[in-house]
Amino acid sequence: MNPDIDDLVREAVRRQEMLAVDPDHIRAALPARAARRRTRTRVTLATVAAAVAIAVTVPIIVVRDNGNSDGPATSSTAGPNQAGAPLYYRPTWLPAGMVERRRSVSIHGALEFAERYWKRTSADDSASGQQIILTTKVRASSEDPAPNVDINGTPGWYDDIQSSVSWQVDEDTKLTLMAPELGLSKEVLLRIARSVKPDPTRMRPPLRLDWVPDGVADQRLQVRGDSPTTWKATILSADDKVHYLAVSVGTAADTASGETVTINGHTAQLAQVDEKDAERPSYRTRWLLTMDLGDGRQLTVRSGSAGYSAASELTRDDIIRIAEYAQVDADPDLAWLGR
Amino acid sequence: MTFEEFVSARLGALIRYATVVTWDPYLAEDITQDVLVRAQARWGRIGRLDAPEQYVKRMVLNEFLSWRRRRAAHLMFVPRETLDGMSPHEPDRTGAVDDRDLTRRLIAGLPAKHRAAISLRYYEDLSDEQIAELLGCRTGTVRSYLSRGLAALREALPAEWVRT
Repeated sequence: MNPDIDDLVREAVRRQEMLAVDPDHIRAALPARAARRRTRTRVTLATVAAAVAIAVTVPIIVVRDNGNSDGPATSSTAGPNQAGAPLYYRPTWLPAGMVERRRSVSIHGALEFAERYWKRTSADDSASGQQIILTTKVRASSEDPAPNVDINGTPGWYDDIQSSVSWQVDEDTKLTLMAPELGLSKEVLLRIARSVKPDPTRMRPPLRLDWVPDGVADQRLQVRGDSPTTWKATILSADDKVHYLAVSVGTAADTASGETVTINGHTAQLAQVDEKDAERPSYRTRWLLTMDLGDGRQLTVRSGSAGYSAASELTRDDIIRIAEYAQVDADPDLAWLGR
Repeated sequence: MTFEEFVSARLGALIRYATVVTWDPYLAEDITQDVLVRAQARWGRIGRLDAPEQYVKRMVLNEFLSWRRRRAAHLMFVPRETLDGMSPHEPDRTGAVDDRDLTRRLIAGLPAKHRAAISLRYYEDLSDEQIAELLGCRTGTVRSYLSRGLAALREALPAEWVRT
């Protein structure tokens, strides 16, 4: 029997609810948001003539070229340290054909996490949500309802709508396993969950940001791809949803049609753009720089800001400087892609 | 209840509510942060209310509807790839387009107040009168929002999907 419209809308509402961002992410961002609001209030009360120029700190990340470390004296390092970023856990059993396509880790953020994605299809197959995701959150406590499953002696919470199971693996660490589009049975999902073991592996970052001015909060490093020869690594920094900066290196080929500049001996294209996407009305991209690094690799710098922000944006010189200080691993550890 | 206790206990529910009311997880995050910062500054009074959560939810709804007004003439966009990475811990499902998602995407295209009325009815299980009080309109207007919103969905959905 076909459902009536009420059933369809209720199902749609449940699916929409599942898209909610992680509460820990919001909680971690609250102090900065409150500080920003206090700053704005003070500026307004003082009726400073140059309020537009100073009300919001512009995030600038300067990325150093490989080898040299003579950056500004006030700089600080952004990104996982040389030992790499911890991955914490991994499943030791997965359904046939699932291979790792993506890892995301926090860097210099208030929230420590790692996400790992396994898919049967290409990493760039964005139309397919058919993947298994294991999220590890450190210093996170569970807000789940009463437990309804057992994960190797630990109480867990299974959600059949999201096809997910979460459990507090220790006092400070929460694991969540999701497979929202794969249609896995509860038994299979629990089998994967019960196979999860500690993983001492650390992910060495293919890209590092050596200098970050005060006030910039890096969020995550993401590495995705199909194999060690087809990949992309991105460090993404969002300034409380007012600005964003994404610095990528990899084999993907973006193209900027604009001014030709030379950076550290490489030819780069720098363009002011106005990129649009019908899905999310949150930001506009203003700058795009692409630089050929040789050996089939490319560095890309994108920056933009929220449409409602009156704050100033990054300048041409900022974008060039970001690329100038990029530090790229000449021999990245990507053997895990596609395994 | 202190503000910290409220956030600890209810933030998850609040962000889910905002995600359904706004029908945009990123906007929901933005609005929820704004609302919580403002609520914290006034928690002395909000925390003494019988139902502080309902008050904060109303702040979210009001902020969404006022945000729509502020933003209506000024929409900007960003590459999907970039936003994929903006929200830690959210599964990469933004590009997932399948038949099961059609109703959700159609609701996204409804006018903001129609969508808010639908969210309050189907997510919060509120009556026409309660929705009218929250939206600041008459009960008849709420019935009109719901009726027109659902009619638009019926018309857009494949006929074989919907039992009449």
